[in-house]
Amino acid sequence: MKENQLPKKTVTLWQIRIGLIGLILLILVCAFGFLTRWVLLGGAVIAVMLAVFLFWYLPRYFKSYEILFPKGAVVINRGVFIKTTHIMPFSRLVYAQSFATPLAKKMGLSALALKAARSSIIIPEFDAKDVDYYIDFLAKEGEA
Amino acid sequence: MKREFRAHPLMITRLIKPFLFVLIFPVIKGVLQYFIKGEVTGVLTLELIAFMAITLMAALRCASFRLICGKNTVTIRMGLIFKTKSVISIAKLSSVQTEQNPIDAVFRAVTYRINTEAGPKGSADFEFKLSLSDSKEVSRRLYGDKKPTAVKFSVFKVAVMAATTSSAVTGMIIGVPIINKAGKLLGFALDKMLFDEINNVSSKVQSYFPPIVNTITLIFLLAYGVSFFYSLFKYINFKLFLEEDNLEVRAGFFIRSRTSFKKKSVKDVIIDQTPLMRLFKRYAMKVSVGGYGNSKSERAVIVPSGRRGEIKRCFSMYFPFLAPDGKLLHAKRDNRTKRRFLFWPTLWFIAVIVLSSVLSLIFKSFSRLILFLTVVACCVIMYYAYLCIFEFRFGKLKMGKNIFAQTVKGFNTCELYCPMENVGQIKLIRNIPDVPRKTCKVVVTVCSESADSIKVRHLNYDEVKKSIAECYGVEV
Repeated sequence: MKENQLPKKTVTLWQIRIGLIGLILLILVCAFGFLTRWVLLGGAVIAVMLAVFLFWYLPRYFKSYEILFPKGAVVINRGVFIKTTHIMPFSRLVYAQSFATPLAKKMGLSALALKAARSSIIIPEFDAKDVDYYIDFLAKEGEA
Repeated sequence: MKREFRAHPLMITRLIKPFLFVLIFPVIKGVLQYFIKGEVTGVLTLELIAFMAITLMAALRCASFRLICGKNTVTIRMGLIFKTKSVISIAKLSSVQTEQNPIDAVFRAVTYRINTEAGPKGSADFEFKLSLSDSKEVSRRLYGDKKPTAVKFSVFKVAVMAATTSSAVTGMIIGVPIINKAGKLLGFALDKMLFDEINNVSSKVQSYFPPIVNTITLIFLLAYGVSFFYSLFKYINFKLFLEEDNLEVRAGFFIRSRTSFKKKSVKDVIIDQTPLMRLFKRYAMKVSVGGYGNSKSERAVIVPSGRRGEIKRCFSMYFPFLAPDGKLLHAKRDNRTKRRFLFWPTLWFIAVIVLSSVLSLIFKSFSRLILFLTVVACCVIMYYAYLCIFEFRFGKLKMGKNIFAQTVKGFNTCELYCPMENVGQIKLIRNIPDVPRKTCKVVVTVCSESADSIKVRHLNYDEVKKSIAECYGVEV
């Protein structure tokens, strides 16, 4: 992970995931096209929205992710339209959990969840080796 | 030195448990039908394929499970398709719990639960099956192997606790789903049979009140009995193992459970007394441990039943660091304040009398039933009034390095002890009569999963503000 940002592979992974779901939705909508042509118009609108979401919004959203480790806390900045900053002190961190789907594993990526009492932060997939490094780092910081 | 542990094969049954009623029982039923009648339906073949697929997935998931105990961390790996790896610092563990039911005992396995403050409320963060020897080794690695001092509690004490904490409502919550599920499984209306039998028995008892009263009373008594036996078998063989920093609670008859936690993981200690306990002058001591338990609350029983002196001795022995300090705050002990405490019981009493009089005038044929319900309501209100007097006489709050509060919670009397840093929120509530009298209600909420809270009424507003400023440095 360079400069505390998510790798480009993460964007590709999410584009594949959301693209597949969108495609299924699009096929379903088009399958009802025999009822009226207006349904096809709806399908076209969905296709445009999906394209904008996949190729404009998603890259910007993942590019906005910034993961920082200032002294004693994890800080995560994200957001395109609405900017969010999530701060979790190490003292409140209870455990870290990594999560990988088959596709993510194939791409050498893994997601990371940081769990605290009554709250959690999920960092989208990044390099699996970095995830292991961060888990070890957080475990050590949590003990301190 | 790291050591890796694998799951016990019995974990497969735990993984396929959610499919018990929708898949496993129908398959067993279908196979039995084949042997008895010699018929196989097309659905059974499909169900068998699904059953085999689910069992195979469960077996592979079980095989992929790894528990790695390191020097300072515990790592849990699981999953075949969706892989997860969790790393927990041992210092952040709230408690570990082992449970052994009769089937586990046959296969020398235990259900092992690791609890932290994170994770979903009301369920363990990590639950899996380990062999008995592995579970002992894991617990030894997590909590050390010092020789603890064992404190045994007699069956009588546990029975007193079961009898005094059981309620008909709990009995119904436990019993009704069992009766329904058993009836469905056996293929006949078990609930209807039971209800007919209750009606039959209650109709034989002659009293001034109508038969419905006998039926309701019998249902409540049966439900109370179910709750009592459930509680008794849950806590029988109750033993407390004491170490310098750790506590371990062991209990159970059919299902044996062991819960270990560090004393520092204790969020708060509660000494409570139910109405029946009050009758027998007994108290129970419980602790709230972050993330503990698979029930709605996160409380673990430490002393099931004991006299006040005994409980106080146990408290100062187990939790000396929670001894209360700071200035004592309580409501004024004058007649005017006493009347304020009795305001709600009086209002309820008047409302019940008026309502029952009106109902008896409108529904004359139901007068005996209304009389019965009024008597029950009046008894409850009288007990409520008695508790309000208790609150007036003994309600208090101490804010210092530790917070101590004594008051009434529902129909129980309750004492709460917790360190000041565990308090999540202090709420001061003032309604219209509080403003001229310069009083307030103080609600202390503990920062924990179940957020235990306690309310002390009619305290002096200025004194409370001063105490908060001294304790937390916050000017209100």
